[in-house]
Amino acid sequence: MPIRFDHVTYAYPATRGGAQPALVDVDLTVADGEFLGVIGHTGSGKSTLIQHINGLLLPTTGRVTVDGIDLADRTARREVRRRVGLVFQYPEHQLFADTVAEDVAFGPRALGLPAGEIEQLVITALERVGLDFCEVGHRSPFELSGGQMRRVAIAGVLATRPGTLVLDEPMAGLDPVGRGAMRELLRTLHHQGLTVIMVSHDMEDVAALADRVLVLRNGAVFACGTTSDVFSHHAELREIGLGVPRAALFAARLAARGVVLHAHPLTVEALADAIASACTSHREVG
Amino acid sequence: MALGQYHKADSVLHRMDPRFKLVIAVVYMLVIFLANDAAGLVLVLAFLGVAVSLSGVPARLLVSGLRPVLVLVVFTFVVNLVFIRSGEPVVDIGPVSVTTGGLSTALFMATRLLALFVATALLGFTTSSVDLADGMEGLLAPFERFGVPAHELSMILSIALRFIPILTMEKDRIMRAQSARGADFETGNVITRFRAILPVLTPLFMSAFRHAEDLSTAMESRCYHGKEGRTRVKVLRPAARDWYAVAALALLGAALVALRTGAL
Repeated sequence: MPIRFDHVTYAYPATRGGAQPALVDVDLTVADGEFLGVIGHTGSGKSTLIQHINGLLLPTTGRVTVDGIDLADRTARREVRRRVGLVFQYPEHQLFADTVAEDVAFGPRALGLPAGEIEQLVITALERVGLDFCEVGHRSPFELSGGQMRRVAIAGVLATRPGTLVLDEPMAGLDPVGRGAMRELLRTLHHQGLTVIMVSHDMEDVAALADRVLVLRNGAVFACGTTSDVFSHHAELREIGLGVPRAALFAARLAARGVVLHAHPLTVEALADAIASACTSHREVG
Repeated sequence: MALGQYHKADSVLHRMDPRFKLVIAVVYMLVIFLANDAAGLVLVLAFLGVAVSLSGVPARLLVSGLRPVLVLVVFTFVVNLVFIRSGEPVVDIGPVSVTTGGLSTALFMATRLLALFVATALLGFTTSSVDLADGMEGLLAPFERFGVPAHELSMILSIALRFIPILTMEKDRIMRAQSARGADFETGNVITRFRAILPVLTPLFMSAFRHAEDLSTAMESRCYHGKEGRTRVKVLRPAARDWYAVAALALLGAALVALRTGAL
């Protein structure tokens, strides 16, 4: 389901007519099955942008369409909310039900799906985030660990079987193990065919997962391209206060000292591969 | 209500001792009810008018702050207008008839109510929550010997006021998150709407507890242990302007009493 932003500008009601709008003329297409990373400084419009994708915010000017459905249409918005799952920052803070199963069932129930279907949806959704229905389904979500609670919250969004998953800082506040597990989860969901849009300020996470990166600055698109392309512009990113993945930085430092790698590594694994192959070919030449 | 919507400015009213402001506001609200004729009402409103003009609070802000209670004022006006049947009839519309008595009572009640709300709003706009709590503590201090925990009460008040905007933001965030999952807060009857609130209320309580936990840790780690041995950055000391305000209020009260007893 392609998502189209057609010259979208959005100003928050309080600042309307006065200050700088939160989004300025954003034009963007997200293709089916893509993994898009969204990066930018605090206040660059990342959160505003993603709230447009399921109509929580409506553009001041311009148009947002999902699968050709215009979000300005009130009745269609409900359908789009089913197709696009939105996971807010710290989603575990929105858990409320007595049991995990009840909480995950909230979305399907709110959309009026038949009761018989709901249980199967809940089981599947929990399974997709790596939790066992029989084990955690009957427990209170508040007695789970932080990482598990976040998984439950994501399952709650997946339960309506959206084709697109939008996440705002899904790794925030997780320890390294939880972080790695969350990366693995997002990678798996993406491979299962979900379109994923992830807001993050961690360049390593974006580099490890995204196919394409959108860079926002003061509400406008600063850059948009493949991950390796965007992260090759070290100087420009640094100028707007963003970093690049350490592997890319390392490769650039090597290049500055005369060792040019024949790839643009973005992750530690890719960097190791690139260095290893450079060493091998060097030895063969020697 | 207007509490907690402080408007930062530098005016005489802002600089006043919060203890005086609190007492004057409360006494003024009582004095309002002494006015029972047009002249009294004009005096009451004039006093308020002077206070508003001294406060440096933009009229636009004051009006927008009062919008929520306007419904109550209009309701009071209509009820009095319709149900009081003294004096000459003015208009007759089917079963509803308006009399001169009804009209004047309605006007009186609505104006008094409005003055009450404006006075409260003005107090809120010109007094920061910290000042308000300080003022309350100062006023309660004499009762400490009777076991009133003045310091604790004012600390509770200032924390509560401080958390209103934070919890409001949190509520908006949770509502957005649940709407993204298909929750509907806008349609349905009272019961379905009430049920729709539950998925917001539970997380909101959880977050309030979380905030309370964090705050108590933060206070404890800065060695807060109640009033014992605590000194103040701002020591409250009444200035000339505070006594002028008291004098003005006393004058208003005296004039209203005189009007009532027919001495004027």
